[in-house]
Amino acid sequence: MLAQYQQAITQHRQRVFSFAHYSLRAKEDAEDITQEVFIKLWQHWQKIDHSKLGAWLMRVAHNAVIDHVRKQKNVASQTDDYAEPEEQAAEALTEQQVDDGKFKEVLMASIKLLDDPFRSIIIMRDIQGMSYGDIQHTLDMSESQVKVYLHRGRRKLRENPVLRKLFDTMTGRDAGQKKSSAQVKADVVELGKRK
Amino acid sequence: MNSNNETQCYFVQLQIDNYLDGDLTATQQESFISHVQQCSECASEFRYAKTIQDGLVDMPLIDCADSVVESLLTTVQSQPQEQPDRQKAGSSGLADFWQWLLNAPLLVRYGVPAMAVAALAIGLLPSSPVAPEQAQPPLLANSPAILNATPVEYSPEEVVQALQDLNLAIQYLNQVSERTENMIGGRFLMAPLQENLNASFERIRERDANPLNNDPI
Repeated sequence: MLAQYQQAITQHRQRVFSFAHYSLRAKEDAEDITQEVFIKLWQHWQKIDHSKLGAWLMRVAHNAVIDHVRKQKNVASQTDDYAEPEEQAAEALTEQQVDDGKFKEVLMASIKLLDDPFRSIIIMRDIQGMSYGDIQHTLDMSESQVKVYLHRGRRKLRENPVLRKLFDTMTGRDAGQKKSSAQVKADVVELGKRK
Repeated sequence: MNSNNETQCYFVQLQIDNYLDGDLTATQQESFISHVQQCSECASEFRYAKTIQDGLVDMPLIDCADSVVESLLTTVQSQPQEQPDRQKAGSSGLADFWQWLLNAPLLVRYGVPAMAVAALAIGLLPSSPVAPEQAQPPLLANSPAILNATPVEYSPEEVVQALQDLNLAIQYLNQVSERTENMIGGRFLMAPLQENLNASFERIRERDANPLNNDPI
């Protein structure tokens, strides 16, 4: 049984750790969550349906992340009752990262700022490439609910002012360097080809 | 004209995610692309969404350090495991049996419970007349009076007579039960019904007798 358990860890550790890491953006916390998830797997090994092991592990990871975020929010509210954590993070991004032009880092930070289930669904679907069916089983939602949350989550992500500003800076729109219609047309055609 | 364009832009921008997921039909896709090629605002919005989408898709799956797994394995071996819930499994088996019984043909549906009742009745009756002391309660069975007593034997005539008496008693009980049912029905159902009907007829008769009651005003 220990061998099977080890095999399950090998098979799913990357997905569980990635999910926790992209949700929390803290390596140590993600490691703690991973350990917590696999300890629960050991404890419930004889009770769970092994044909749905992946969904079960992701559900446990999702719950553990939610608990962790809740605890973090409580600590944050105790340290500063006046500033919203989202505002603090956005300000920090503005000062440190936008100038560096690290779009992906800002994107990761923006994902962390999303509320659940938007954050979890974006990580599961767009980063981890999970199917709608797997997400549906993990989060106990219908497929249409998953799609609605995914689209709303993406829209919320695009509405992040820091990310928008960085994109505008990257594409020259912020500096008043608007592209010509021919350039835009060429870009769209190119994007269509890449798709 | 402007508001028409704005509406079009609004709908096109709503479709960006569907386009990126490949959920648009060929016609919708064609109209989406032709609008985006002409409208710089929508093209910019589309590029922004596409850049974010590409950024997300390109993010790698990250693995935890092996030391995490090693420490996990040492921790886990001292952890107890929860056993499967036997009671739940049993109740699930019973539920499955009931489901099967409800879906079975009529003969099986009533036959199986009847056989179960019969088996139970046979099990409760003394199994053999040869050893009646086995059916006695243990305290009585151990008493010397019982141990010294000889088993009573009945002749076939006596058995036939006893059966006839039993049938007579059952017949009598059936008659009593029937009479009781009739009496209860008559007292609690028929009598109140009759009273109500009589009262209704009485009211109608009184109304017909008094011409003022028939005045439509």
